[in-house]
Amino acid sequence: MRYSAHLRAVDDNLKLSAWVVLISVALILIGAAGLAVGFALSAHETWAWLLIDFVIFSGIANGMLAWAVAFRIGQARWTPAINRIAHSAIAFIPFLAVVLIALLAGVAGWVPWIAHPVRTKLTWLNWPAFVTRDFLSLAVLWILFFILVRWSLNADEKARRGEDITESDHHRLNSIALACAMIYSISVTIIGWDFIMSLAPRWVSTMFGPYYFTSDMYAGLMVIIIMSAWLAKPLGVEEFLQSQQFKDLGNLMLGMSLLLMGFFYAQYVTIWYENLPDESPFLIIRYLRGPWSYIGWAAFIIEYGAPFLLLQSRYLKMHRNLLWPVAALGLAGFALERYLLIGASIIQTRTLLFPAALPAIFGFAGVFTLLVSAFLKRYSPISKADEALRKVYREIEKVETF
Amino acid sequence: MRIEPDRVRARYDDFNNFRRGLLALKHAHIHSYHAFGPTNLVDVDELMPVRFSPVRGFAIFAGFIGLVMFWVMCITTSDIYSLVVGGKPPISNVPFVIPAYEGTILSAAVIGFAVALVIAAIGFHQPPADYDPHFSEDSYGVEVLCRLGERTHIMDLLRNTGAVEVHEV
Repeated sequence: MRYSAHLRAVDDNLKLSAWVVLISVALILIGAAGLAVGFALSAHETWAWLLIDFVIFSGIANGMLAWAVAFRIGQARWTPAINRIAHSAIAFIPFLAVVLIALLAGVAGWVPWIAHPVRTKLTWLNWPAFVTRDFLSLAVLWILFFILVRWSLNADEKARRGEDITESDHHRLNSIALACAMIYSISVTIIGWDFIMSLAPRWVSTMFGPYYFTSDMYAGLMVIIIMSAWLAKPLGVEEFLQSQQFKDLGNLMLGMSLLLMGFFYAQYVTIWYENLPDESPFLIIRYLRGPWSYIGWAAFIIEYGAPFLLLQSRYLKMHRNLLWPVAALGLAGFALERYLLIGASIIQTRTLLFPAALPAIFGFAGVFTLLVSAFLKRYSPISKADEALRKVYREIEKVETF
Repeated sequence: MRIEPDRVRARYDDFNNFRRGLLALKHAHIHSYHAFGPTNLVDVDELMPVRFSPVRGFAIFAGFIGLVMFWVMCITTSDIYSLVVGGKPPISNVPFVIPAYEGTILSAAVIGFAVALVIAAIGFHQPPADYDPHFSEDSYGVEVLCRLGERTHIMDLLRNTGAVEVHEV
């Protein structure tokens, strides 16, 4: 089949079965009901749940888009289908924006330093500055992501009309990708400082920002793996998602788990050596003493240790049906770690925050499923700009071989 | 009673047909075959069956030994010498992770490299005794290990992908 014919065949190929829609809507209703009950009975802990769900899902969405950016900057030739799956996270951003506005509007309900100001950090931890910088950080990042995806979809349109994707199109995409990468690292670091570190306002760490945005990318990668494994057939892109692509995704995940264990250890060993009263309690509560320590080490093992050991197997990485459960395991560990980071700052004597609001996470999952599916249903599952990149490099290779 | 031959060999005089042949084997879920050719076969690497490399096994084993060895080294040296530890316990596992990690990487890299050299030197992958010299000159070849009853199907499959010669070995 000619390539152009193949594209026509796969366009609008995602048939969203009724039960997926039904389950998603049910999850959204359950989540909304959980939040309503939570706010009625225990507003402080429900704000914490909303914050946890926001950092998990914004981490996933930003991380997915950051991979699309990384592949574009790296001029990756093996990812035309993976890139489009990563682009699909953009459909979830408007929902995240609404939750962000809600969180910023109710900031007094979940940060401790408004009721108990920290005198030494008043210039940073005051609510007008907090709301302004967090809103602007994510707004700028998300606008850049929107432009990146829009320009990639414009390239699809050009290809559909039979026009060539020019060097200028590639140049524009490369430029916006570079801007996205720089702003991503700054914006998500600020979110990590404000949404997690500021809940323990006396704690200081220079390593936490990079750890936070890198672990978001790790989460995004795991969701990309799961979606690639599940959607390759429904999207009709199995030709672009073969065992070699899954092996590469698995290797990326392996490398990320090793990198993040390195970050985690670098932060841990520094605090352990210094043993300063401002720094140590953060780790002691989460990893050494009290009920949260079990969750802390369980999250570490599930998120990094187990995937690192399992992904040593090349056989596992090359088989999508074996790889995605490992990614799902790592993702569960990621969610547990975010729960730990926020939950232990809210309440230190018990590990379960007000349980009625727990289903809100399912509501987020339902919204994510619906919006991302709608995006993939509407747009081509192959990023033509990235496919064109592959062709360009093939031509260069031919010339060099000649 | 005739014994079923266990190997079928095909010769291709065109690289694209050779590639199609490997692709057909892969799609038919046949996983036991070797490929030969006068050029580097890296372009068909993804079509070849996955094989276990003994180097990987040695490297993992050496890494584990390095981890244990360097950890024990940290404990023994801390125990023997009166180190200044600034109020920390002399034997503390948290900082020992660093030398243990270095030991893991060092041992795995050195032993892995040495094993790779040894295996290359002793000719681990000698061509079969009845190797067809055409495969070093102007042809590509595929040799398939057949299970009972598969022979005819595999021979047809290879012929259909443009093999100029298919025969039992």
